[in-house]
Amino acid sequence: MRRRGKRGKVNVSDSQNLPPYLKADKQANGGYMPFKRIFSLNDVCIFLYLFPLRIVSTILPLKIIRHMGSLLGHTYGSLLMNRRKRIREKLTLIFKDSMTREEINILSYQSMRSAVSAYTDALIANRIGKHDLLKYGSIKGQENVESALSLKKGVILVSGHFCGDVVASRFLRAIGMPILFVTKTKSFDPEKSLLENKYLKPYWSKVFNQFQEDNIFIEDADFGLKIIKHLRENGLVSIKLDAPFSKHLIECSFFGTKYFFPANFLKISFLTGAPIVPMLCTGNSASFEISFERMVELQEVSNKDEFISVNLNKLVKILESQILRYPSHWLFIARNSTQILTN
Amino acid sequence: MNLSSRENTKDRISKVIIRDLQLNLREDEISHIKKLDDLFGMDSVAVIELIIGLEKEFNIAIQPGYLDYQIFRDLDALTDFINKLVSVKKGSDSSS
Repeated sequence: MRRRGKRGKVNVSDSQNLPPYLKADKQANGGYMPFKRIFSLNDVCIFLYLFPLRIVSTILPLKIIRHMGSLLGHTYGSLLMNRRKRIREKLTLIFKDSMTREEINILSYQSMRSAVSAYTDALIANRIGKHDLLKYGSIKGQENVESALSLKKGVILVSGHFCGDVVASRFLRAIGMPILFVTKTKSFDPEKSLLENKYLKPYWSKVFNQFQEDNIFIEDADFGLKIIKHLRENGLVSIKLDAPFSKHLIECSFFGTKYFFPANFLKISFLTGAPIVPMLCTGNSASFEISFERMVELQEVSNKDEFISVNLNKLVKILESQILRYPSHWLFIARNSTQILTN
Repeated sequence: MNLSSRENTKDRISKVIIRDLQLNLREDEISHIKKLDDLFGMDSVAVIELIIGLEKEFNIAIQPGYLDYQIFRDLDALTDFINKLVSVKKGSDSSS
């Protein structure tokens, strides 16, 4: 429950499960989270997406929805110059050694388009039947998952936020892969408006989470039990490496900058012996590919903290290589919080 | 199940909790806490450490079907559950 505080600040209870970097902000503000504005242009976009677009998408042909998504992507990438500028600045921070200014400019535009396309796919994904999913999608490296599953310890799939994620998860469910997708309900973000934090985000979670029965939420009290149960049943657990919302975050070098990464999944691997397989989902609902890379050769050390530190760096390098191969497919826009990316 | 055996199991569970979750508490403090999720927040790793620690301590294997939140959040329910598993194991060991 959130109660209204004085203007410019909102009282956020601990049940919001704030990530550690925001908890520090909350403490510094005497239990109140600051927010920048009451209302923003972004709220209009979210409102249009949640209501007219989502409702219309239940009856329109898929082709038309995709065209609408493409059109919105162009509009979004071209009109929201401030946002694009912020993305460009952060992309420059990440790709400073490997891309020219012009390439980064194009990438910032593509990144915004990919984000819109991913949102459109979230509307489409619930309407695509199994037959069509199999027609539009393909899997590469399934033998890598099977080899990891043969160890009978379950498998932890590690990936970043890429634009093919939504349809890929539907595809994997459709072919009967026993996957749990680790996610979180949308929590308070001081960069966003009060309207978004207080009304739009909770509604968003309510609308979209009801379709995803295989999602498990880090806020759930039985989250850990569900994970170990699923791993012991030789199932797969999918986590996002570029989502800094774990209770245990570790700072790692990421494209030469500092970034916080979740570490609890490595502790789970250390404790249960579950192997880790990198996954990458690219494309969109019209054509997508899921790649499973070879099982990561985790360096075996007896100390848990050392195990995490050594192997997390290895996984971050794999994520970097995936991003460099598919920079425009990476949903950088979802990871653009200034609190987590520093010089 | 007699009372002393139950208390003994409870003490051993408390030891596992302190040792494996590295809590700065005494055993008697834990036995007064009814709801374990109040103690360590039932975070993903803590509960996994507890399960693995209990399996080692009591030399048992907890099957996935028994990994139930209602059991693991309550110290009394957990004590009864572990006692049951231990006696089943003793029974199967003696019959074989």
